[in-house]
Amino acid sequence: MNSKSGKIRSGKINAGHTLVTPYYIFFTLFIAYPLIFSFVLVFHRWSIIGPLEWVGLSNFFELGGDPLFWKAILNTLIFILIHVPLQVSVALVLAAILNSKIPAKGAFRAAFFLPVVVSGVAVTILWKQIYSTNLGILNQVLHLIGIGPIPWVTDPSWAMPSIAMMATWKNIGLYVVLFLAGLQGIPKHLYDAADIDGATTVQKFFHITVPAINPVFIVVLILSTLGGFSLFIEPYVITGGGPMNSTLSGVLYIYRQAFSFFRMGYAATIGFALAAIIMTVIIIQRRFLEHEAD
Amino acid sequence: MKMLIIMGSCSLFFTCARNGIENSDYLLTYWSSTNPYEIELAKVLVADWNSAHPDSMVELQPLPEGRSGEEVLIIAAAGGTTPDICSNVPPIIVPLLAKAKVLVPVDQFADGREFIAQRLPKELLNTFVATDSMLYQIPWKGNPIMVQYNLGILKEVGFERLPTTWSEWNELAELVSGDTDGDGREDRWMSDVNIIAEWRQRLFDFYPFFIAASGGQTILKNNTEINFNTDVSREIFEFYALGFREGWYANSIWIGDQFLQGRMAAHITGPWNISHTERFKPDGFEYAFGPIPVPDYFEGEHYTFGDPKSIGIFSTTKHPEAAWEFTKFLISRQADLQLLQICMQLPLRKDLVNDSLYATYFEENPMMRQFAELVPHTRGFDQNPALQEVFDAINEQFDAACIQGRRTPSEALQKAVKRSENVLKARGI
Repeated sequence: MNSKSGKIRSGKINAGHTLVTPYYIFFTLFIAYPLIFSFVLVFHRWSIIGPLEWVGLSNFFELGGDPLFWKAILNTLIFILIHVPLQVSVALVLAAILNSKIPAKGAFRAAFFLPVVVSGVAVTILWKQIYSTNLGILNQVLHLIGIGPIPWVTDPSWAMPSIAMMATWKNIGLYVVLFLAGLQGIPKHLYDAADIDGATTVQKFFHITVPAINPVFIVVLILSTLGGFSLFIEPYVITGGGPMNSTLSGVLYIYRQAFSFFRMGYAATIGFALAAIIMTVIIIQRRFLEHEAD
Repeated sequence: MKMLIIMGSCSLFFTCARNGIENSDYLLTYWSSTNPYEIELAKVLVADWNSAHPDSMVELQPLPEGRSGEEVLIIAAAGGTTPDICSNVPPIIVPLLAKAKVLVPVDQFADGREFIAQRLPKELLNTFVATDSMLYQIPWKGNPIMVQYNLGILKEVGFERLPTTWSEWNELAELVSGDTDGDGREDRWMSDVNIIAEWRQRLFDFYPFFIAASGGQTILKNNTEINFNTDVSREIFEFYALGFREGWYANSIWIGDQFLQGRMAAHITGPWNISHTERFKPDGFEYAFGPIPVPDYFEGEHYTFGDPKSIGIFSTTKHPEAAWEFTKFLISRQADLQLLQICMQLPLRKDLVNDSLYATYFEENPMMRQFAELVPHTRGFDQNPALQEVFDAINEQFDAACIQGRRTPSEALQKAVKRSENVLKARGI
């Protein structure tokens, strides 16, 4: 009996291993191997087609004194500081509106979500046209009311906020849906009880809605921060990182080093440094949010 | 056991697939550019070759899609999937490919160097030779950069000649730029300088102006030392900074052809734009080409950027001799005529304008003759694997000093030189 159950157990284990084999292969080929190889690259100079050349820690020394790397990190943080609060607040407001009794709710929901599923490059090209200083639709409309022209993406002070605005428009649908799911999960009787106690709409929002959707809020905040760190398509297509490197993001800088200058070792070093920065920010963010939630 | 069966099946599949490739009728693979005209040319040439050479048939494939030819070829080289021959090798990446021994040097073939020397003017050929004196690329075609003018705008402002000097250019810029419809917004400019922060964009403003103003010099001396630390470079920065300050060039991102829409009086371009203009120009649109303007004090011959493209034979080829024979066919006199007729691009060839074979073509296409006459006076890229980063340093400072006006031209130039020197020291040759 014992031997039979042992066979069944061993068979189940074998079947389990067989079933997860595709994942093991995928993980090894596309995650573990590139990660280990990238780490090896950090200590080498490599043009992608030549042999690896050992350089020790010199990529790290170069990184420390590379003003463009620090500029790229600063730009990314500026983007996150504009994009994340804007995205979270607008998404929450839109979700609250969609959660109320308004007509054509489904159509609005689809409209907000549409940019999320449209190709990032296509959306960016569209915004490139909108933002054109001299012929863009936005400035033409502003001209009608006597404003402008505003150098949306051609002035170093305006460029990153403009890109943040566009990225918010592109991604907000996803966060609206997440918030909406959170809002719809709040028991209605809590609001009824608050109504009996004479609570105002604002009080209900801050004392019932916000605490109830706190887990969703944490997820949204972390996801949009991670999304912010991976900023690439928008500056790549619209500005190329300019003007005056004001929209050069960390990922765009990695791309430039790797595929414009073919400096794979240095690009890998930037990648690891960026990953360390992201990890630090996310850990701080989580600790802060969990502390606030407690 | 199941795993072994799966792995065995995969191995069998790949073996069969590989054999399928090797047993095909084709001896060589050839990648052409993705430009539709060049694909058409390649189809014609490959068909001619295959009908005459059934023993060394060529399979044509346009260059795989990518942001740039450079990226695609480097990635292919990294993966060992390069073709036998490619006719869209940007000379700027040749030093990198040569360093990695990805290209077969022309010198390897008995008649290689001599064949190319007969085709190209010596001075021009020398610009393609690597620092180890080997020739890793077959200079094929060039697109001398000139200025295309909208004659309608010039006539409208009473400017009856094409500018040849900076002061004439600025005089015209002052006349044409501004608000033409009186709505309070500027709607016409001198030229469409591309403000995207990418080094390639400087190949259509700073670089041709530098080559022209310096009498045919390039940004590196002997392929290794900085050569743009000069008054000429500073003056070019000042020239463009003045233009942006005065509103002669717009600090704007454009979509669509603003030159053909009549918003720009001039457009810095190559001969490929003739067919584009003929195809898309509005009714009554008149145009002409002039040289890249030079400083008023400049004396000497007019040089310009040649925007060259080379043919490369890759070391992955199993049939280098056959690849060389096909390459010679691609750059033969007759094939060069087809390059002119189908693509409106210029072969890098001695006496192009005096060769009787091309006489009829140039009689029928006088604008192309203008470009052809410039071919011997074109310059391409220095042979240094760090050249892109040097251009990037120039681009960065061009942006700061000229487009944004946040740095003086002298200060910007010093910064570009300093960064370039560091780049060359660390990664150059």
